[in-house]
Amino acid sequence: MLEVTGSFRAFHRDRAMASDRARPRRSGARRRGRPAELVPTWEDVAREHGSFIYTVAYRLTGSRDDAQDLVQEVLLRVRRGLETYKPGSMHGWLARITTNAFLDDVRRRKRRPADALPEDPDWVLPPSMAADEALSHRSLPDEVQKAITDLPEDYRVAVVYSDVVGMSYQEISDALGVPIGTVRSRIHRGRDRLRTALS
Amino acid sequence: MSTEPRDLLSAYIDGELDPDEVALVEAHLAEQPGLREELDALWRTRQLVRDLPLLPLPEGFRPIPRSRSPLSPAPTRRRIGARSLLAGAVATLMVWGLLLSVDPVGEAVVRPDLASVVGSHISVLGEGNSTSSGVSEMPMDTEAITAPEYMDGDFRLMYAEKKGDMAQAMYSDGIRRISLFEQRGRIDWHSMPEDGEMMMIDGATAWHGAIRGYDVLLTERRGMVYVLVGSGTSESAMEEMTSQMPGADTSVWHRLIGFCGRTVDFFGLG
Repeated sequence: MLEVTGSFRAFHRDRAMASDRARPRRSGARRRGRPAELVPTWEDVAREHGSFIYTVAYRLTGSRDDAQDLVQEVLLRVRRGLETYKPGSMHGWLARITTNAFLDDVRRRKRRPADALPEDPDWVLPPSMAADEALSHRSLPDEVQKAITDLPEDYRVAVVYSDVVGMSYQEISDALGVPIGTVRSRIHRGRDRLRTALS
Repeated sequence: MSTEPRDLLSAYIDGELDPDEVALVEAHLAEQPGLREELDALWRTRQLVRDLPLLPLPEGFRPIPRSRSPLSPAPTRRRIGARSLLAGAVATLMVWGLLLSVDPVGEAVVRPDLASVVGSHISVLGEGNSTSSGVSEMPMDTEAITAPEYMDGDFRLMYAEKKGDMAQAMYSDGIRRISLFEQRGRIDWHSMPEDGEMMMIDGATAWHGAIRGYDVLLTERRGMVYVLVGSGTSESAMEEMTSQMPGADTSVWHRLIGFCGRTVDFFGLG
């Protein structure tokens, strides 16, 4: 049984409020006179930044299947929100969308315990393989990825923002809506756990 | 903000400390060899993450909303009639329906017959042959699939029927009516009508369009195909339901999958 809260009425009410706040207007950018040539098309984003989105998604999820699902969700959100994009911040913008989509999914899974277990994480090797042999087959990137995947989501997102996307603490603070001291703490604790896991 | 030097090491590595904090950390580093080792270990850890490669998109990956420009206007939606508008002003009426035909070539692929979907929806509503509740007589005892509690008790089952490989159920909260249908299989997304739009709902591919004035949504997940038909909706009710805006931490998908899972279990189709 899936655990879901709220009702259709509450859902619609909340959604309407969220839409009033956040929904980009389809032709707003052009009406506001933004030069069309500075705003990439959705196809441009998918073609030129798909690999970046997938990389961030995979670092967050640790699963190729989940990462592909996340990329699809991100591209849909990109499609809806492309007009809000400010030229020059594409990777930061995409990373924020990817992380928001990831965190939304994490929250959903927490409400749905049956889905909480990862589905065949990519680092899991066939059970017939001996443990020592399995370890020898794991590459260093696999080990690092597993350590990242094992981090609590808050730490994982902070580390990925910082060390995969390359965002500054201030940018991460803005993206997550948390104080910069919290960003600093999450990054440090995340790295410290990685250090322990990889030592 | 912490002034414990150990807690500042990552920010020190990243160049994110102010001058006073840098001086504090460096003073402690000069005095504590252990702290220096810790700093080096953190730096190596950071480098391991930073050295992870950029990953190519998996071969064969195709973005779903591929057939439309991102800046193209929304597909034209048929306007609902005055009678439905009036009803919609009082209450939002939503009905979900499904009529899928099995592709004889690919046994796992199902192809939606959307005209029949809407026809089924009208039929189930019981127009011209309805009970006092406005819904056709329930064809069987379906207490076992009454609406789940997470609908806040608003919804109860009004109708349920097994139609071949499909399970169909209609729920109502006294105002709205929701019919849910599902079938095992998958969808050939290339065959979807052009006058709709592709979208994602909670990571699941979906198609959304308007047929005979009814909103229709088709989606699939984990080997199950689901179709939604909404009628007499307010202008944006269905769109709101199917949207997944950043910041919205829930969506209709949770309710849909919960409903359908219950129904398909009841009919032994799962």
